[in-house]
Amino acid sequence: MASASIAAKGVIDLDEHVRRRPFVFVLFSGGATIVGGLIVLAVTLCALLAPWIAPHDPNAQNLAINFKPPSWVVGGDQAYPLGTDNLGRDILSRIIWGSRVAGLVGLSAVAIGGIIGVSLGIIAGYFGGLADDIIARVADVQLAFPAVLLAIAVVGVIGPSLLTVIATIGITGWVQYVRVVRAEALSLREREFVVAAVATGASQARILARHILPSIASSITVLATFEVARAIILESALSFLALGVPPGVPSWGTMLADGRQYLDTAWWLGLFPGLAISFTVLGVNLFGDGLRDALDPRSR
Amino acid sequence: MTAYLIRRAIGALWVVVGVAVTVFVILHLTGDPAAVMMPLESTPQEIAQFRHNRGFDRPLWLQFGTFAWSALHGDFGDSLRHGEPALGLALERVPASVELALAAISLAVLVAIPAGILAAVRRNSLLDILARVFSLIGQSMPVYWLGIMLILLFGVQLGWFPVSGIGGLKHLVLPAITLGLFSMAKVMRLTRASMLDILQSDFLRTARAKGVLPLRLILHHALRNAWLPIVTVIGVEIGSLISQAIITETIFGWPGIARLAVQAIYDRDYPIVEVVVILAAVSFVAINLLVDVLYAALDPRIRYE
Amino acid sequence: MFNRRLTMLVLAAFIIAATGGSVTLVPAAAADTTVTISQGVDPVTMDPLKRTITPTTNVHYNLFDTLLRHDRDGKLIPWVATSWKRIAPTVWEFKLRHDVKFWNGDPLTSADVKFAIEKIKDPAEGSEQGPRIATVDHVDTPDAYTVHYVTAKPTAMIAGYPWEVFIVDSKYWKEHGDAYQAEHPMGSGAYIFKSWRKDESLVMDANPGWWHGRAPIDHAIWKPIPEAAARVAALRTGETDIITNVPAQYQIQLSGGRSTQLESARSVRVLFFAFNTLKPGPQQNRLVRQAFNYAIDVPALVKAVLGGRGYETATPLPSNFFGYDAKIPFYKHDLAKAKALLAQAGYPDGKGLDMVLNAPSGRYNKDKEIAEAVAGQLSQTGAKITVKIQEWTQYVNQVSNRSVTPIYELGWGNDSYDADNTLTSLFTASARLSTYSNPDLDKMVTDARYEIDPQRRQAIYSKALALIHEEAPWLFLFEYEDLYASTKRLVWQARGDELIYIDEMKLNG
Repeated sequence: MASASIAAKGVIDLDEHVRRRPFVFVLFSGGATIVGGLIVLAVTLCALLAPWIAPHDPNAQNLAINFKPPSWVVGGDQAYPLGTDNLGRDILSRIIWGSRVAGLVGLSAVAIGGIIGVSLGIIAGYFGGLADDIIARVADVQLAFPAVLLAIAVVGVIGPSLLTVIATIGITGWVQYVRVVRAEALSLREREFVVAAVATGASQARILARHILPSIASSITVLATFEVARAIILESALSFLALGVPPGVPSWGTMLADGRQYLDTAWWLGLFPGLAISFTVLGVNLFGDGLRDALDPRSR
Repeated sequence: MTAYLIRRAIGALWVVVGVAVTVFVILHLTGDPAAVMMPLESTPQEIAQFRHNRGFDRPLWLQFGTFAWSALHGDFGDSLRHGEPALGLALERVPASVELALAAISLAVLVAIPAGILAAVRRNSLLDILARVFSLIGQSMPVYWLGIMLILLFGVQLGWFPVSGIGGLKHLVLPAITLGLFSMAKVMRLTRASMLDILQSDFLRTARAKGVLPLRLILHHALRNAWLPIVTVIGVEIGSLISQAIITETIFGWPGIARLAVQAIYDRDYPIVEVVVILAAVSFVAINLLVDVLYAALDPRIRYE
Repeated sequence: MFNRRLTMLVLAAFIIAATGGSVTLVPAAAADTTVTISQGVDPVTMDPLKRTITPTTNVHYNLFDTLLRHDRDGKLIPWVATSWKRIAPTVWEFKLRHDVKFWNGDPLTSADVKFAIEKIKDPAEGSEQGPRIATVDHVDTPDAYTVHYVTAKPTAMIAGYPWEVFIVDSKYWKEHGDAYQAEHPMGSGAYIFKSWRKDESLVMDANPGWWHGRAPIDHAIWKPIPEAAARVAALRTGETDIITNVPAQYQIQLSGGRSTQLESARSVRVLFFAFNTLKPGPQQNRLVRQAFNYAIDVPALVKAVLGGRGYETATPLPSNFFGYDAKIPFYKHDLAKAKALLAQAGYPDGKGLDMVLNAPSGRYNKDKEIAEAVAGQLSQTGAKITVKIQEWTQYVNQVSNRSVTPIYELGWGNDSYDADNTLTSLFTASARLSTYSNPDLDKMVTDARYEIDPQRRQAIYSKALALIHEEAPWLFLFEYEDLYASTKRLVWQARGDELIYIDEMKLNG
């Protein structure tokens, strides 16, 4: 019933909606990108300026003042706006410093996954043949293989560290790039300007650098944005399984994983890092959406 | 089509073999189970005896040969932890995991696809905005955080649903939401996007101009064309569902295969890990094959040669 | 038409009657009592002669009997054996009850005890319980109700951990074979095994013919819940009756809860950091080790991280163990003294000290948090301390080949209530887990093991503990207090040895 009435006028209404849109709608079609961009900018600033804007040393413990609630709650302290954790560390400072890990994990994991994925994707798509078959099989193996086991293996071989976390997330991410890049390279190979370049005797390297890479750059950029979001979420999942960033490096994932045991006794331990993760991922996703709209003419 | 299927099946077989070899090598890189299986006060001789009994002191290639040969005969060895055949232990957890996964997927599909279509049809309406906000939030919450919040809210505070274990339909609600929300958000987002593409395509505009009723238009033309990307995503989601099930089953004490696998990984219970990973690979490959066949069924224009 | 309506009516009446009937029947049915117990993990097998992990043996203790039992204070009491004594320097004699029967009616005799010990000793069996009965050379059965444990050398401690070896029905076992036991146990214990769906629930019923008298609670269900927060939630919603390993932060909430109560017991488990003195580094310097002991504030640590649920230790032994010496003082928190000692050792203000604190995650109550807090306290000396956390398997592999260095966290609990197991396993040069080597100490520990006179034995242990205290191969921390929580309808007292005997429970009213 409801769907029928909506369907009855839905398509016709489409254009009217576009014509006169209130502010919220504007925010969400073009403005969403701005919101996302602002969140990303804020996190970036936090990461860059952490030593100057964090009120306390993020690792300084004071067991005497542990579990202080946020300053606006009874028992809170102005010096610790978001409260203190189980060991008396300032949560706000840890969140500010934690943005560094989030940024680092996000960007490096994406870089690792991207470099592997794009190279293999181009090889598979542009050159094809046996290489294509092998890469496709390896990609399937990777997809069918549980990431947790891989994480334990990486930790086992190189030991637990920030680097391990980055490597694990990077290694599990490359397949997405292969899929996208391979498909694009495959179709580009047949396009006139590439065929023309081949006919004029341009070298393979030159064709790749001049024609193929620039053409797929926008898809890679969009994909990379979403991969940043995935990396941040995965980092917190690894922390849940005790495979995360080691203590001493404040990270949102570790804070959330540790704080989950306090959600109904000292909620601020888990809530704030949880919000930090959600907001950042949200911002990155919004930004990615906008980026795609801007870069991909079809969805405009 | 038949030739294509045969070729795909051979490819799938290669993937399973690749996974089996990888898991075997990786497991043996991650450390010896003897230290964790034997009590801490055991002497080096007792540890050596344990390793010898289990054949861990033989060269790796020989161990793999033995493993592969018996695995081909359906024998994956006895679990180190339980002392029972690994295959049986793994298979008896499959129904619980399938129940949870099906519930999560149905939830995702039943909510996400209609919501995605409505959102696209009524683009920029309040409904559309709610759907988009929901799909964004759904994709930005770590699974275990969502799970514990649901437990505290609907289990402890409101007392609506049991918080742990398997049982009737009531036991299924919270874990299914936890497991399904991420996929739901993703599928909704994709459904909306592909519906928008189709709705704005020239051939639909033409159809509308010809006076075809919008309802029929949407259900018949638009949806049929939007199916392809949606089905693809659901296929891919199965893979991520397997990973997320690990956390969901742990938090909700769900007696599924993912929980067995995590425990086995921590214990270095080689036979169990091997059998679970191979089962996961087989189901992943099978589902993706099925998705590809569905492709052909949904869109006659796609031909496989 | 009319008929159909009539049928409906009759059916409705029947349903109302049935439901109404069941309501009035409830008081009668309520006599059948059930208790649900939630540990973090499920048992791994029903074969009681294989594994030693607590959540598994906790279930076995309710299905199988042992020769002896410990009471809540750690005192040995008669169980299936009515008496036990040393009848020759190397022979321990146990006299068995005559009225013990397995669930299938088979009588429990000395042959069953001998069978269990031999099964564990068989190398092909690969039982983890081997180390526990290592001192028993063989078992003699002079008659059906007399058992002799014969040891190679005279031992001070009663041989073969008779409170830990489960007695199985040898006839049934031989009939069905080894593999069958993993899911089809046959015991003589307080509860009869009913069903088990792994990782879901294990059901047992009171044994009406139990020699000790039928237990008050009729049914017990073991339902594992891995995540601590979910375990607490399940208790609060009444889905379970007892939960183990309650994190300290819940103690106020649960002890003040409308339907929940807190239970605690001083544990036999101590937590400590060991220095790997076998590997080069500043930890080989005794002054550094002592300085670190002065630098940590154990009472503050226990208060902040464990909510006060722990007791500072000065030596490796819990206070209720044989061999414990109360005269040995604690390393009282004294930062100035710690700094002075470091300066004396050549590290003024901790300069030049860059050390790693290794710890597992999720193995011991708050293991990771304690490591972080200890690191925080140690850094007060000026030393640079980093924490390295690993998952248990990787960690224990390094601990057991002694490659973990320079400082590592470990917990140690043994239910013998005797110094021997702790000192032998953790301090003697040949032990797999010892990262300390001192021939004098080795000799003392060996002497005490074979010293039959309790007073002389205690004197040796006092000397050994004083030496350990002074040499400080450990950063001495605390004994745990184990926290459990239960619903208020349950009457039960937790035990320090982490065991859960359902026959010790009853329900209110």
